[in-house]
Amino acid sequence: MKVVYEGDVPRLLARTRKDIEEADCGRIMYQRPLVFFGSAQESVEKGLWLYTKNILPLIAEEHVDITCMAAARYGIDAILGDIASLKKMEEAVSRYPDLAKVAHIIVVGKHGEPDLKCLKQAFPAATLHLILLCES
Amino acid sequence: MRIVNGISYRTKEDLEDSCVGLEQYQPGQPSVKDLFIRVTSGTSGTQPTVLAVSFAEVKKNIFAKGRRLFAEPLLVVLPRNLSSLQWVQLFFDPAAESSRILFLSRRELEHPLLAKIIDEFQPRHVFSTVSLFDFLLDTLATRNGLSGLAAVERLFITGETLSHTVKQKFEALVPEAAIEMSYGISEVGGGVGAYCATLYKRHPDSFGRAYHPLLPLSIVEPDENGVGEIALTTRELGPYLTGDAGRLVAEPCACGATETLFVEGRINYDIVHCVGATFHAALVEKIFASLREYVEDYYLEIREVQGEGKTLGFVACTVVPTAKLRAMKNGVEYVCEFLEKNLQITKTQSLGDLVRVDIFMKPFITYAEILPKSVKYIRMRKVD
Repeated sequence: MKVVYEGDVPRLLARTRKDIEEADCGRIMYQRPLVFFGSAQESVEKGLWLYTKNILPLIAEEHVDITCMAAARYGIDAILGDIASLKKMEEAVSRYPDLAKVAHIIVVGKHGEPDLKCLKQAFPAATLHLILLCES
Repeated sequence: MRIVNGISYRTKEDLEDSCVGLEQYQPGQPSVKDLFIRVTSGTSGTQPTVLAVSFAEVKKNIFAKGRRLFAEPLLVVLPRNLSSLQWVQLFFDPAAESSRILFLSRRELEHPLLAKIIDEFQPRHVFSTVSLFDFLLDTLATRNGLSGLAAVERLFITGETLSHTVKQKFEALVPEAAIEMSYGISEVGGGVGAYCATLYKRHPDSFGRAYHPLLPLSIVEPDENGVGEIALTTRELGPYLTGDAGRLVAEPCACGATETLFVEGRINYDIVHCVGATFHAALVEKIFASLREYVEDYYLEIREVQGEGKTLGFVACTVVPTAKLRAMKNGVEYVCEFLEKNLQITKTQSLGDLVRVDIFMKPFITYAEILPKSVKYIRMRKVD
């Protein structure tokens, strides 16, 4: 079960192993991804998706510095997340220069095309991928 | 590294600032499903360690017994998102048979409609830590929302010692639930010591202290009572000193286990957990080192107390004041404020931060001429 929010009202949504496995979060071109969504529920679900592809995910904690410290130690090569969380990483990357070397950033969003220019500046080595999902 | 009887043991300090166990990660291979990332360390006083931990052995142990570890619906309430992922992934495994799982993140725990979420889910089993489950109960109780936990049959608790006060509270608020505890350390995913109901029938005073080992364990440098430091061996860590004191007894149990581990707490109380916060002796020492002009010696007693509708942390601090502190009109307030401001007890919050949000009571400072001999080498202690 997953908690989703309509506005700020939580409700439970049933997700099966098959649902998670069949989700489309893009082609996997990386080995050590950080999964960073504003909703921890989303981070865990995408983490489970990566497990179905036999990839070991690091998922973000509430505190961005702890996330960045762990990401630097793990040697992440990709970040999979929503634009708001990636912008938080962008602010922190000056304190954790190793993170600027990530090779792939996969932005998962639900509305329109987010502004990705700032991400390109913070992560100059990264190829940006945008995945638009339908509202669940 | 510490060498004891010719064996080189790693310690927590050896792991700081590193990534351990990653060599076993083979991207794209099915073995990945048994690997988890864990991030250790409690406060900003220590550097985090990232470990890639294999769960294959633990899973074999758990499922070989031919029993389901958890029944569904299972509610997982853990402080780290990574730990939640680990347990959800583990119990999402077809072999675990338990697949109706809900985990709660901080957003849900702090949400005004928390009771609605739990009421809708109606868990039968809950897996949590002492402090977080305590927080959950306090929150639900103040919102008249405990009915969502009415169907809970089993409460599986880990993370820290369950004090008598908190155990009584759990029993009163979730009366139908059998409470089970396991012994674990953050460097090892999946636990070090397992709960056994038969064991507690044999040792009724040892609830939360007696376990069957899940890993190869030994006791290093035991005293005349057999109590020494608990050492374990894992694939990732090799021989490792846990920093916990314990006693290992060979005794057959009806469940098939052949040994019992009695956990006696931290060696030298270097770490004390209380209502979700962590006191590191090294950090406390650093704070008092910068108060040297005012404080000659100190001793901290940390405890959980039952406040109005919730459990609070409380620090009683006995100090031997210098002449300078004695001469100060507001010396007690000065030490109290200094402690509140500078003592970091979570990764991001000081004691004062937690006093302001009513998780801790204001520290209580008293002066003493001299500290009792019994606290000569121990500067802080958790008391029940």
